Amino acid sequence: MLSDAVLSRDTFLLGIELRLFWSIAFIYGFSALLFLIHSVSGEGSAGRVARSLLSFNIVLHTGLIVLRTFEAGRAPFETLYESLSWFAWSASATYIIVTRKWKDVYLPGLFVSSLSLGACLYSLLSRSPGITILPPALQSYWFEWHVVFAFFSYAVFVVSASIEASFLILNPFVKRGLGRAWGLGAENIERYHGLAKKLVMFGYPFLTFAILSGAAWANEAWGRYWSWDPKETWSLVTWTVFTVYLHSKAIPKYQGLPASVINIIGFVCMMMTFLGVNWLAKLLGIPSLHVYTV
Amino acid sequence: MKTLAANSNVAKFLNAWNAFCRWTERKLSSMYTSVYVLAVMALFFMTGTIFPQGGEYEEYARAGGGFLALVNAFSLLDFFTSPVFLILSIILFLNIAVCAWKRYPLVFQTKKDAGSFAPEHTIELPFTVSDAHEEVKKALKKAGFRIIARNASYAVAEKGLPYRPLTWLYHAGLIACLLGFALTYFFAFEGEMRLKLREAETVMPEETGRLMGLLRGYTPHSDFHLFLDRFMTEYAESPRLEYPSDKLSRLAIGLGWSKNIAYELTENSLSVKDWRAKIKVIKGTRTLTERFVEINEPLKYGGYTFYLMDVVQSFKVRVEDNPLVLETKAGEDLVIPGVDEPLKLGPWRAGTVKRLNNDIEVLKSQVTVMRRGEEVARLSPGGSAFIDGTKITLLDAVEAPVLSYRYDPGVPLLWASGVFVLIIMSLRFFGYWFEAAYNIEERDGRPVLELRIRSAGLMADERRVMERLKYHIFKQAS
Repeated sequence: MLSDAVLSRDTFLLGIELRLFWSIAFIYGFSALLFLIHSVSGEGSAGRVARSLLSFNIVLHTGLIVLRTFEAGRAPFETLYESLSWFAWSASATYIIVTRKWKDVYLPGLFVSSLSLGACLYSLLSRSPGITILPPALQSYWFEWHVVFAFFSYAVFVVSASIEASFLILNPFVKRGLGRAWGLGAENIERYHGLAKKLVMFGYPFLTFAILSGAAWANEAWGRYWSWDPKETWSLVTWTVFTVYLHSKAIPKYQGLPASVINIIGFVCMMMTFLGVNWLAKLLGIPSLHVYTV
Repeated sequence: MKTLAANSNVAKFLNAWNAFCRWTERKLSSMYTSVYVLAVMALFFMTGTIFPQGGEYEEYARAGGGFLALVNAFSLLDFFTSPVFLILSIILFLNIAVCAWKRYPLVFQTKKDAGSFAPEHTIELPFTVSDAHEEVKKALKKAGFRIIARNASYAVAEKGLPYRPLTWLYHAGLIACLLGFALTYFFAFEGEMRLKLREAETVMPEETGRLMGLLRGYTPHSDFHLFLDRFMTEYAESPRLEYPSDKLSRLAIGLGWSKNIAYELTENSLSVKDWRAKIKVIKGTRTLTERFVEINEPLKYGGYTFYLMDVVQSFKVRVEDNPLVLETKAGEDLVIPGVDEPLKLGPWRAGTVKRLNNDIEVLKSQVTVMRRGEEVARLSPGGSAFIDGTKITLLDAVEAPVLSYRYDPGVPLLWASGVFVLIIMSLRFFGYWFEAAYNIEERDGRPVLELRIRSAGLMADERRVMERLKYHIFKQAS
C-alpha cells in the first residue's frame, strides 16, 4: 500500500472515531442528566433509563476502544487522549457490573457518568487525537500490564468513592425513613455501604501490582526502581491512604464517618496520581518522567 | 546508707525503664499507631512532590522559591533522605515489626476455641440424637470444612485459607520490602559513562553507597571494560495530525460539520523507534560477554546493571579553510565568526527508517543546521554549505550512547518480598475463609444444630455456605 493511501485510510478512520467519541460523550452527558433528575426527584424511571443508556454507551465505548486499538496497532492508552477515554470506559463498565444487584440505587451513577463525561470532554477538547509511535521507553512488556492494572484499580476506586459519597448523602434520609425513593432502606443500607469497602479491598492488590510493576519497569528502563518522581510518589500516597482506610475499617472508633472520609480522600489522591500530577508538575516546574507530553 | 539509696535509685530507674518499654511496645503494636503513622507518611510523601527534589537551596532561593525557613529546617529539597523522613520510616518499620512479633503467637498457635459461642443460626436435624454428631461432621466435611477444635460445649470447623496467617505473612513480607529499601539506601550507588565507537571504557564510580565501606571485599568488581562495537538508530515514519486547537472547531468535526482534519507526512516526520548498542565486555584481549543493550533491555555484569539512558550526537566542523576544528553537540549554540547569529546543529539522522507502507530504507546521513529555529542548511559528512557567505564543512558526526550503571543489592530482596506480598495479599483479599462454630442441642427429643459462621475474603458468601451445608445435611438424611 502506498503511504498516501495509508494516510487517507488513517484520516478516514480518525474521522469516524471522533464522531463516535463525541456521540459517546453526549450519551454520558444525557445519562448524567437523567441520573441527576432521579437524584433530585427520586423518580425511579429516570434512573432506570439513565442506567440503560449508560449500559448501551459502554457497548459503544468498547467499540471505540477496539477501533482505536486497530488504528494505533498497539494498546490504546499511550497518550492522555487515549487514557482519558479508557478511564471513562473502565469506570462506567465497573459501575454497571458492580451494582448489577442494586438496580434501584442510582445515585452513584450520577458521579460515575459525570466523571466519564468530564474525562471524555477533557480528552476531546484539550488533547490531540493523533496516533503517535510508541517511544523506546514505553516499548516494554510491562507497559500493558502496568497500565491495565493501574486503570483497573482506578475504576474500582471511582465506583467505591461514588458509593461512599451516595451513602453519606442518603444515610440521613434513610434514618428518617425517606430513603425508599433512592432505593435504600434501614434494612439494606449497611450492606450497600459494605460494597465500598469490598471494592477497595478488590482494587488494592491491583494498585499494589501497578506500583510494583511500575517499579520493575523503571528498574529496567531507567536503572532505578524508585526515583521519587511526582507520579510515583502520588501513587504511593494513594496506596498509603487506602492502607489507612483498610486499617481504619478494623478500628471500631474509625470505621464509620472517618473511614468514609478517608475513602473519598483516597479517590482524590488517585485523581491526583492520574491527572493532578501533570498540573502540579507544570504549575511548580517540577520535572517528571511520567508527565503526558501528548 | 549511701549504697541503699543508690540501689533504690537504680531500682526506680529500672522500673521507669521497664514501664517505658512496655508503653513503647504497647504503642508500637497498636493499630491506632499504624493509622497515625501512615497518615503522616502520606502527608510527607505529598510534601516531597511540592518541592523540587534534589535541588540546591541557593538556587531555589534565587528562583524565588517560598517557605525558605521551612525548606532549610526540614531539608525539603532532599526530603526523602532527610532525618525527619528517616525517623518516620523507622517508626513505621518498628510498628509493623512489633505488630507482627506480638501477633505471631495469636496467629499461629493451635486454635483451642472460637471465643464465646453465641449461635446465630439453628437447623433442625433430620437424624436421631445418637447419630447427629457423626452425621453433622460428615456434612461439614462434604461442604469442605475441617474440624480444628472441640471442647465440651461446641466444636469449631474451618474452610478455605485461614486469613489471619495470610494477613500476618504479607505484613512480614512488607518488613522484608522495607529491609530491601534499607539495603538500597545504604549500599546502592550509580554513575554514568559515555561510550565511543570501537573504544573501551572502564567503570569508575565517583562515589559509592553510604555504608559501602562495610562490604569491603564484597564490592562489585570493575576489572573489565565495555567496548562499543556498533550503535544503531531505527526510525519510523510518524505522520503529523492537522487538527484545530479551538474547541468549537473540534466540536464541528465531531458533529460532522467540518472535515478540517488530516494526517500529513513531511520530511521531518520521523520518530526514533529504537536505539541499539552492541556492547562487548572485555578483559585484556578476551571477550567475556556481548549483547545488544536497548532501553528496557539492560546489560548485567559484575554486579552492575548497565542501562542505555541517553544518546549524544557530536560534530566536528571546519569554517572556511581554518585548520582549527570546532566541536559541538546537537542542540548547542555554535558561534561562527562571520555568521550573524549562533547556529545549532542537529538532529543528526543516520540509520534505518520504517516507512508508513512498511518499507525499510537506509537514511541518508545528514545533520540539519538551524538558526533561530529555522533550517538554513543540511550537511552530510564531508559536505559543505555557505551560510552568510561563510563556508562551513562537516568533518565528522558521531552518535554515541550514554550508559548509566548501578549497583543495588536491595533489588533482589525487594523483588522477592514484593512478589511474595502481592501473592499472599491477593490470596487474603480475593480468597475465602469460613469458620463454623457449632453445637448440637436436644430439643423435644429432636437434635438441633446451633451454628455461628464467620467469614473473611471477597469470595466468602455466608448465605451460600449455609445453603451448601443444609443441602448436605438433608441429602444424607434422604
